[in-house]
Amino acid sequence: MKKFFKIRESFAARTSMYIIIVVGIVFIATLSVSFYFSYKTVESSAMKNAEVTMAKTTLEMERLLSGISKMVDNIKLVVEDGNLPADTVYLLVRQIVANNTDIAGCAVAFEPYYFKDKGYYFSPFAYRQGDSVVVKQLGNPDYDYFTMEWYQIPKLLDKNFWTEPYYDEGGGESIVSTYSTILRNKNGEFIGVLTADISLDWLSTTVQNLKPYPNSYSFAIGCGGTFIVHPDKDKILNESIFSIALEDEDPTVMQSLGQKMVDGESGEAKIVRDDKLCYFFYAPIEQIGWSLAMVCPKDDIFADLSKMSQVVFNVALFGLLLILVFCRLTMQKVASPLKSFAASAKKVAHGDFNVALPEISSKDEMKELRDSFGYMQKELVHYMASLESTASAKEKIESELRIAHNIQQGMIPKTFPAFPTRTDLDIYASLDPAKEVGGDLYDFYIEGDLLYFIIGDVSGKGVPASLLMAVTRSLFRSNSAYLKKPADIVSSISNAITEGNDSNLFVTLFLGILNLKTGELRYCNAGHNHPVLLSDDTVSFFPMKPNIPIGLFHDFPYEDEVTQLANGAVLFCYTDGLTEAESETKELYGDDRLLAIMQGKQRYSSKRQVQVVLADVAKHVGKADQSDDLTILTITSKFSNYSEVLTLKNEMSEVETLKLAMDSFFEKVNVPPEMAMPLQLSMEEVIVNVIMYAYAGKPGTFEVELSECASVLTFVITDSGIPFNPAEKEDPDITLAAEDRQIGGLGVFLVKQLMDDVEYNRRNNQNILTLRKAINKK
Amino acid sequence: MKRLLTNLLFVLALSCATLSAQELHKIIFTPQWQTQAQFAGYYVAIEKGFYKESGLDVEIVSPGMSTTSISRLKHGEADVISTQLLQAMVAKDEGIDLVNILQSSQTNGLVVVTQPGITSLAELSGKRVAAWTSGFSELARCMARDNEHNIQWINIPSGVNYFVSGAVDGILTMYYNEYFQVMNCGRRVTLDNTFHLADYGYNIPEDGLYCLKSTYRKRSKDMNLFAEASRRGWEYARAHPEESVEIVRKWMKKDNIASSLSHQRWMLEKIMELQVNKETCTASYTLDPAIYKFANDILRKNGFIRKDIPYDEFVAPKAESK
Amino acid sequence: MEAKIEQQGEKAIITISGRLDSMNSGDFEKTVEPILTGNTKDVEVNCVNFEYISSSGLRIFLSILKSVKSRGGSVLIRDMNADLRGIFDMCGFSPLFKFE
Repeated sequence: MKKFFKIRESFAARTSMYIIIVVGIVFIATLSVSFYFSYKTVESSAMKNAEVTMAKTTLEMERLLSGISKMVDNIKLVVEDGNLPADTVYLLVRQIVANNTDIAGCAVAFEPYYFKDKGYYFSPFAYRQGDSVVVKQLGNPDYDYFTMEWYQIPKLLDKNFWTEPYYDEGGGESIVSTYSTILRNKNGEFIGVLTADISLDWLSTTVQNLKPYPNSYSFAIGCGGTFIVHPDKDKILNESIFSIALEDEDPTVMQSLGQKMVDGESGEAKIVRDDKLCYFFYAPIEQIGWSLAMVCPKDDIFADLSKMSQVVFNVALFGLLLILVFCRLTMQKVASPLKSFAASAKKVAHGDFNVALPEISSKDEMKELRDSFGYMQKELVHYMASLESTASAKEKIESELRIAHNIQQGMIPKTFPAFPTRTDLDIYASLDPAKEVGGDLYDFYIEGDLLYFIIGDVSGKGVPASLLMAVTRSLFRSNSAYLKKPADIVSSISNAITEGNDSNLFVTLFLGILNLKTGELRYCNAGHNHPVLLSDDTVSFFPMKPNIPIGLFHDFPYEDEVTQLANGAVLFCYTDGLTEAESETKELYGDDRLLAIMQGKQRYSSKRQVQVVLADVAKHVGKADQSDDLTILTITSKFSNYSEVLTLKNEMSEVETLKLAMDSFFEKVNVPPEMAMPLQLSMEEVIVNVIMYAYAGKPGTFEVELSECASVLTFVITDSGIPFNPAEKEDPDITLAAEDRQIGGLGVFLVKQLMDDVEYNRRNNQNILTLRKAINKK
Repeated sequence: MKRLLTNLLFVLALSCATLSAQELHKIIFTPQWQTQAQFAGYYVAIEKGFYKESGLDVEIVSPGMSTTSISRLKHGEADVISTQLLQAMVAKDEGIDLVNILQSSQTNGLVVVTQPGITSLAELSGKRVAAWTSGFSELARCMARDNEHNIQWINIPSGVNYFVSGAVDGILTMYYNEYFQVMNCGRRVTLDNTFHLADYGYNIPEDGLYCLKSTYRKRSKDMNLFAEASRRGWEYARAHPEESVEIVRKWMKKDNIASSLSHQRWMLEKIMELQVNKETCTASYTLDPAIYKFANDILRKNGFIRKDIPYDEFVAPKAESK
Repeated sequence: MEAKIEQQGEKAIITISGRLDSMNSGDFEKTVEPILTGNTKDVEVNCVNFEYISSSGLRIFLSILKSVKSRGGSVLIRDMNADLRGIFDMCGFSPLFKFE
């Protein structure tokens, strides 16, 4: 039941409510209009009815009264006859009463001494008493008829006159009115009056029976407003409509109505009697100046209408309720599938695509909804399945890519130092693809005394480039086994690739063969960017012919080039991923910056060179994405070098041993004397560290290699002690005051200051510290 | 024996009670007209037990159609009566030795009411004015004579139908009685059509209580008590007009007289007004000597009385104003 | 390496010649111990024949400086050669000592 009233949440409830409101309004409007018209009709018909009813009564009264007055007027001629004997009058009046049942009494009253013998008073009077008629004399000292209204008023007015009703002397209960007609003599002088009394019982009865409605009542008033007929007997001849008015809260209402009645008007009004609204109808009894009124309580007039309205209202209310219930139920029935749709939708959202849908029997929008919903369900299942397969396919591809990446990485030499035992070559490379797999390549191998190397860049990125990269690399390996000239190798690779190159991919390539013994370099460039040459501590771009990238033209005439590298010269090769590395502001790294960073780096180890350049590129690129594969291959040719290797024990005495070895070494390689001390100092610091700490007190040995090539001294200290990277050590703060200075930590600091390059590597559980310094030979 | 004794004792006790009851002095009071609010004070005094408290057993007997209150006093049918000053003085002049024991009215209540259109007494010259034959219209006729208004007086028995029918141009009314009917008969009469005799030099008070001098000599205490209690009745009526009207109507009903509530209300209201002296604004219930002299002179002048009646002969000692 | 000390009341003159390296720094330390523990305020180091110093030597020089400074004294270095001076500069020692 509570659900029944949850209007907000129920579509059925809300809609039904709106319908009810609209229907309700329509009902109210219709009923109001019809009620209004019924009301008006009832009112006007009530008024008409009252009018007619009263007219009937007044008309009859008027007829009666005029009948009497006419008759009396006719009779007076007889009386006016001067020759009429006095006593005849008695007969006359008796006759009149006897012959007219309407007349209760009849009198003829004469002026004093009209009949001289009859005296002062002479007024024969006949009246009905039961079945008989009694005649008597009216006038006597106790009854001075000359002042009586029925005598004196017509005399004063000089007009025939109907008196105001009065209580009949004899009866007390009966109300009578007297008609006086003036008697004149031959000269037109007033001689007396002839009167006829009529009982107003008839009026009384008729008026009191004027009761068109159960609670209505009627009354009649005389010329002065006095009640002459009234349902309340006490009021008759005692109160007037004006005196009654004074008892009201607002006397003016009845006073004005009374005045209108007294003035002989007819009409209707609405008044309040006993706190009830009543209709007041009034009409005059013409000629005589009396008036009739009917008071009808509004409730009575509209009783039937009220009853009817009540019934209609109840029916309407009931109907409204029925509509409400019917609407609610119907809507609920229609909307209940919606509820289960909502539930199903929820289930589907949670992953259960096969939830059952409610059955719709109708062929309307609900069925459409259901069908669409079902369709959506099926499609969702398919979609989810395809998503899954796509996702797994994607994953597959991704894992394959990862594998491809690994394969690719496996294709290029990654172990460094590549040739630890060789002193005539320092080679280092790094390849950083932009995606999982890339199109850059490098490769090298040594055969005899020749170092075969390539660096290349496949057009594009990603899988397509990587495939070509793999092909190129394999071709390099296979073709360089039997082709000994760089141009030949390049051409053969190019031709092989050009065939079947529908995608028009190409590869830029720089291929070189370096004689490690002589330093002679044979090379062939295929559209690749020029490496940087560091020679005699100068930095320049390696001169070479551009040619065109491989893979574009069959049988392009690639040509060999030859040059003699200086001892210790560095050939720093790279792909355009380096020089075209974009910063956040889309600035390219550029050749100039490369040349700048390479200044003075000849004395660095190959690895350090690559690290330094990559760091500089990274600084330039910032947070921007890597736009292209970045590859570096740096080769230092040390064909002429001298080296010595010492094995020392971790004893302090070995410091002296090293010093002596260094002294002789300096001699051999012509190290200027002034450079000796810093070099010795550095070495001393390093080996003292090793001696004191590397083996944690246990005896051990370490190796020191002293070598020189092209005025660059390289000292390599190798120990198998606990891992220690001096390069990591923080410099002491040399600005502190004496009190604050730490005692230790200066050794490594001095080494870093004094040497050009300090490189630390850990390989095979060994600390390998390489110190390098360029010297100016004497 | 025991039974006889107890019976005897019972009878004794009863007679004692009756005797003590008979300690109430009986007074028969006759107002000048039938029961109406004009005499409210007395009905109230009976109803509220003021007379009983003063040891008086008062019976009010109306005069009826054939007699007057003065006639009843004259014939000893009433101990105390109410009548107008003029009638009383005329009666005194004629030899009925009565004395005034209470003067309730301090102002004259006669009003001439004219038809609409007549706004001054002068306009009534040559016109008809209805006046009741049963006394006290003399004052009006005197006034007319004095002011040389050539009024044609039409004698009528009672009622206002002469006025309603338009047979007369004016009608003499009592402010507290017929005036009400005339103003409420639909003739559109306004205050411009009303003329109070009191405003035209004829402010002679009206109602008062009288008893025979002989009665007074014999029962002055009772007479004074009656006057006192009556005054109490009037004062109570002043303070409780609605209740008093109810009491009067109840008595009217007892006498089979139909009454109109609004008419009786009006009557009581105006009687109360007329009991207040216009200059002193108090209701003294005593006859002011100056006013008495004034009345005496007018009546003398107009021939109502043959000789002057001294104040102290007319007014009972206790009822004199100090 | 040869090192001599001359104590003159609160002043001490150290004459050092030859190489001061990790091997003989221990001896040197012993030699200058009185200065470290005593109440020498001013120290003068004669370096005219001083050839070589490594970090262990520098350490000792710093110790001398510290202990002397704590007594309100200073260390004066005489006739140090350019190379050694260079080392002193490099380590930020130069502002801490007086040089002549």
